[in-house]
Amino acid sequence: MPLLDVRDLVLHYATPRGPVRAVDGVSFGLEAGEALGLIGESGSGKTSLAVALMRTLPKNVARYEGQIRFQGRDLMPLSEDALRREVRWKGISMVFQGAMNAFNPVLRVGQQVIERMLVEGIPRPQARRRAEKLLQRVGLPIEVYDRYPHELSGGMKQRVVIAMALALEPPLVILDEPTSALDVVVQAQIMNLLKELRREMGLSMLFITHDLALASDLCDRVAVVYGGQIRELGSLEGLLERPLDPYTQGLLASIPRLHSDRMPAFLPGAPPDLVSPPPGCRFLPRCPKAFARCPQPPALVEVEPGHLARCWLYAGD
Amino acid sequence: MRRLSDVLPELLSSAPGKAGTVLFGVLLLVAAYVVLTFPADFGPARWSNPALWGDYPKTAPPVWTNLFGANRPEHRILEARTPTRTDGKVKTYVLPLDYQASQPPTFLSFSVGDVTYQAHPPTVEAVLIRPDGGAVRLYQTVPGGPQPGETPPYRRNFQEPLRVQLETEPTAVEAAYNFLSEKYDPHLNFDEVGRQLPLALFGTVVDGRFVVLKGGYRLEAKVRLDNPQDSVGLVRFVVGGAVYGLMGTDSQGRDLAQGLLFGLPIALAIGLAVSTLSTLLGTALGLVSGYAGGPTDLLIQRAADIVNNVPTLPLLIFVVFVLGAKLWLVLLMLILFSWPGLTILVRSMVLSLRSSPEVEAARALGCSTGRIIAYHLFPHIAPFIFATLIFSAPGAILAEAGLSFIGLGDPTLPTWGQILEQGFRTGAVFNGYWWWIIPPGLLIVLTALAFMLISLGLEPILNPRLRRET
Amino acid sequence: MDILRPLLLRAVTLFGVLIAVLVLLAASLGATGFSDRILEATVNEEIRGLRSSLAGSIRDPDELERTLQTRAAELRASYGLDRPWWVRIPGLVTRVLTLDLGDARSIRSYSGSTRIADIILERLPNTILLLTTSTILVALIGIAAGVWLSTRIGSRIDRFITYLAAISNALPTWWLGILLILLFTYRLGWLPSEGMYSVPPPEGGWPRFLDLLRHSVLPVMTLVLVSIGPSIYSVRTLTLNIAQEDHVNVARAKGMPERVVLWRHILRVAAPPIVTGLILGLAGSLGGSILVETIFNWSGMGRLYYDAIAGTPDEGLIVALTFMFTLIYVLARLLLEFLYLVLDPRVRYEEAVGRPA
Repeated sequence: MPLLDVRDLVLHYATPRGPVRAVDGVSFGLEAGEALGLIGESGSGKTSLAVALMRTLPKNVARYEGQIRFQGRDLMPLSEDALRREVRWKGISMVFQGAMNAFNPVLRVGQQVIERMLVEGIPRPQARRRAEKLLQRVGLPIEVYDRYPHELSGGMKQRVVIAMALALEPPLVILDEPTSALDVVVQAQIMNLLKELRREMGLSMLFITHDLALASDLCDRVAVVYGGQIRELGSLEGLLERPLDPYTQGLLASIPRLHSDRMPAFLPGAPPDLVSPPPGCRFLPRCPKAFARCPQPPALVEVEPGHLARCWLYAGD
Repeated sequence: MRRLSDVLPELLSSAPGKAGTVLFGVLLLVAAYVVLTFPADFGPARWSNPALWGDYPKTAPPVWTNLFGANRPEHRILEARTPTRTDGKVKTYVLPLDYQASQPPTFLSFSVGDVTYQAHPPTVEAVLIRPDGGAVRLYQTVPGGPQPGETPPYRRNFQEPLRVQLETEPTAVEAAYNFLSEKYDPHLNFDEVGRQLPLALFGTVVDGRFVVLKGGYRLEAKVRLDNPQDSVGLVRFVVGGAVYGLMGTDSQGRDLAQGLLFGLPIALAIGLAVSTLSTLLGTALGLVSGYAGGPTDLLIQRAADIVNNVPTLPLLIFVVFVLGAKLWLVLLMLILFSWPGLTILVRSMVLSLRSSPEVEAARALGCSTGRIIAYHLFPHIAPFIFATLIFSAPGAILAEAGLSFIGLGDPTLPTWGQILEQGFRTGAVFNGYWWWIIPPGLLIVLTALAFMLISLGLEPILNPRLRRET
Repeated sequence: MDILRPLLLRAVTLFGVLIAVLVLLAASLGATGFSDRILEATVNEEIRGLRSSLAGSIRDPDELERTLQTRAAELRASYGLDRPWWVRIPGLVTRVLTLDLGDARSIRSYSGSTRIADIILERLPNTILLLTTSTILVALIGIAAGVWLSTRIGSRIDRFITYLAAISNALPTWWLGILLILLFTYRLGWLPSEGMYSVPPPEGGWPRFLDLLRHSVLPVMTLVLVSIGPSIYSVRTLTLNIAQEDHVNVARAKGMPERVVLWRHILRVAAPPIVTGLILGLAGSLGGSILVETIFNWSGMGRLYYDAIAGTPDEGLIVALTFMFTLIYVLARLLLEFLYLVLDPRVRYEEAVGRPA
């Protein structure tokens, strides 16, 4: 039984222009101890997927349905209160995009790390000891505990955010672009830290990023997200070496390579408008291999064992 | 960044912006009408000249209040400048009056003016012809005779007519008593007639009590001229009403409609002048401060800091008290107190723009400082400045009104605040003279509101963060 | 917490304001010759006393006059009356600071004193009472209603408050007060419109307090009504903006209870800018209270302004009042600035709701 099993997850936002189909029928599974990368351009709906999993929904939700099984338990029927107490942070925690704004500006950092522990009934001195241990584990001095967020650098904040996510030792951590706002050097440090933590603590990770290279550094399997849907899902090697979907192929071709005379290719056109996406294959307007069947919506099918693609090229008959 | 040309569409796209623009347009039109038709010296020459208002009823509510109840008499000023008929030496000026109110006039007055004579002054006699046929002699007078050393023709009462308050005039009391006791009630009390003369003159007696007699009255002024060249150019009969005009009168009998109308262009001018000048000052200082930097910047910012932190009203009261209640002074003080907020904001905007690619590029191309400010800084902040200008206008109007209300208004210009202050000081609130209290305040609110609605329409410019909420 | 330095910085500005106002007051006292008049009066007083005490010992009237004139010249020199006024500014500043401004022309304190200091100090508590009551009410109602409203953005009541806030900026406080009097006193006859106590005031502490309460309803209501719209609106907008920030989302994702999210992660963060809003509104409420005291004949310092301007203008009182109002303002500002610094560890100003003051 997978740790996390998502089936046909849908999350639409209401806007004056009509519903935005940010997550539009996403299905995948995540085994315990595994790291799955979710890769997509900005606006592809990958952050909304995290929102849908944590159910931290904004007010303008138009549609939210599907099945989320975590540790064998269906989360969808859970009440807001039960979800909050039993799943959030205890079962699934999250490292947010843009650590700069992830902190309450007027509270000390330590307080923000332990506040969820206190809700669990852990006594304050004990919570503090655990928080200090966590801070040390992510490579920060204990003094950080009594600092205010504005006194920390971006890299330090990102480490605190990670420590905060580990406060209740959850089996699954969602990492939403954990390094996007950081310098390359700091980014590498954070990635190494994440790898260490994964190894030591046996964490499962859902790594959301736009950067295929970063994902390949950390993940066992990778899913490519486009227009609110998963286009291709497979093992890291399989996907990198034999990309099936034309979009994945384009994505890989656009990465500049050292010692290669080939110019990086780029994908013409823009990602689909999620208010009115193309009715059939969402990649159709930009696809170099489009043919007669593409105006029909393709399904995600297993092309090779463990390697799925949403493309008519592999649909069989 | 928006440009200034985007402001108008932005404004007209919102309901409050539209309403404010329409309201402001109406106010501007009325103000233009007032400026064109009222004399410039309306304040001292008319409003503050009690002699002009003697023939008006005091603290009379507006005429339209009759729609809601009592049929109170309207104020009537009847005038004739040429005689209606001539019988030899006697010229008769006839002033007809249809009296339909159910209450008697509040007062009666009779005036004669523009008298010219060669040798002997004319005699003037006022007779009231009643609907029941009675003719009551109200008054008889003779304008002043020749003074020693004066040469003919003698001119009398051109500046100020010879005026008499009739309800205390013995001749009229006696004539009314004679007529009424003869025609209606022989037991009529003479003193009673003296006490209620307007009612006696415009009424009959029923069961010993006066009752208003409705119908067509006529005042006939018979002028006996000594010489054919003599003339009387003005005969005026005032039947004091209990209601007056569109807006009523104050305790001096002044027509509030006129005062309120005259206050409009003043209020608009105060709002626009102060906001424009203080916005200009604030912008200029902000631009200089932000662009120049160094000691200039420090000096301007220190000054802004201090002025921005001054409690305005007490200091305004003090300065106006010491230097005198002059409108220009009030405006100057308001301008001097209101620039710092904008200066601080403009400076911070300039600081962030100064390092923008556009300005860096302009500097790299060798543009002069003046050109950079005029073409690469100012256009970016212009919409914001415009919005601030509109937003700051009501404050100036309210500040002037508040100052007037404490008694520091410029006495030569009647403003709404002063009208209210006079009402408050003379107990209009206590006496319930609402027509004296409510309209001036309402007009202040309406004028300030026009600006506020426009600035509500400009809110997205003033406060771009608000666009996020849907 | 290193709060002293920023507090000191703000104190310097406010102290600068106080000094600037003091110098302005002193200079105008000197330039208008008012200080000369006060001092002359003091000199004459002393000479009169001297004359009656010397009348017994010096028989010769000429000699008496000479002695008195010499003495008067000495006194004038000691008071600095022989020097131009600008030399005496420091002395004048001290006079203003200590409210040593002589006697009022016609206004008396309730205990019968004519001294300006006595009159002002007697009225000071009444002004403070009115000002603090209304400010606290506005803050409390503003926060409660603003937070509530931020959950109902775009609703009818939200639009109403938005318009109310705009209209409030166009509403003269004093006119609103008059309208309330017309309504509640003359039409409905529910509430008194004048003074702080009935005449004669009721006996005993409790009835007296209730009487004061009844008399304060209309003035406080006026001050609250005129600033409640903008107050609610600004809290609503602040709360809304903060509620959209990432850290609130993080707190929810963490599984913090909604109550904690609201208090610790939204309101606690909104507190400093709310205080900034209070700071920006302070000058306005001060001005408003001056006018409201005038309308309701509330025997505070604001009403004193009106009385000192009407009839025979009383320069001494006006100078003293202007100084006292500046002082109140500066002290209240310092208090609020301190509060702000305590609340915001970042020690930086945020624009309160983006409106220029």
